[in-house]
Amino acid sequence: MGKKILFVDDSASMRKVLGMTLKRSGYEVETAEDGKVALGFLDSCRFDVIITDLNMPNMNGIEFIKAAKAHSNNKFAPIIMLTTESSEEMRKEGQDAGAKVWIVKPFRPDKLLEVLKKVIG
Amino acid sequence: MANSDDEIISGYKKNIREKILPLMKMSIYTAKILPVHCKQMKHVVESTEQAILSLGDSFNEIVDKLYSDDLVNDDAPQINVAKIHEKIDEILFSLQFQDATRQIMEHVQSDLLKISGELLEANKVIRDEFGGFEVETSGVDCLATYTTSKERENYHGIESTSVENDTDDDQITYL
Repeated sequence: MGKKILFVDDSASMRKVLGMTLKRSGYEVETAEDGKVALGFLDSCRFDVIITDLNMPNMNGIEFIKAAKAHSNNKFAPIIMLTTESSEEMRKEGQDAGAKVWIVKPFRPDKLLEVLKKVIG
Repeated sequence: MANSDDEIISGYKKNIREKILPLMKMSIYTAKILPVHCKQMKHVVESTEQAILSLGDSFNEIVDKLYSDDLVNDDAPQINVAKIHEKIDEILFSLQFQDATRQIMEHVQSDLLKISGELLEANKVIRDEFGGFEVETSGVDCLATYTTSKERENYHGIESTSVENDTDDDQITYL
């Protein structure tokens, strides 16, 4: 069975592209359009990695990371930030919240897969 | 004396009103047209998103076929799997520019709507100060530049449930 990944992004096209990238490499992917919806998945499932966007409606990426880190099921799941935001200040905020990797969009599929291998081990 | 002061003030106001009329005309037009432009942008962004999703489905089907045993096996040595991987990655990378465009457009729309609101507010202040007057804006209409039915619908505030392009019926006209 493939490793499970939760991907949170309000862009339907990004959810599609990332899903295509990961499923092709054997990962199981769940997607959510914002942090609030993603929290619902955390209740019912344990993920090997969580990938999240930063700017989203209802609950942004940083708020979601903090909530995920406090979640008993998934508090140890490594979190990757995948966002168009590239400022050092925001990266620091992401790191403080608990993100392990910060990737600026658009991502290179092969590079993302390399990161996943490193993060999941 | 008081009457004379009132007359002078009234004269000044009339003078100012005439001088700022072209400015008001343009600002009211701008305030009214910016939300229409935003709607046009939103429609374009939603259409491209639908196109990407549809493209993604088709692309998935092709990739599934390529990865099936029928094609990537010893019977088909001419297929360079690494090269296919590389090309697929390039496509997946390129598809993401829709998302970047969407974000930039959303920020622009947000700013434009803010400007529109502020212009209307400023016009209200001017009208309160110098009295109400009708501003004719039809001479600065951008409707003439539109070429698609969707642009015209957005301009006229016609809601459409679909974000697809014109239907087949619209695309083909027998003359």
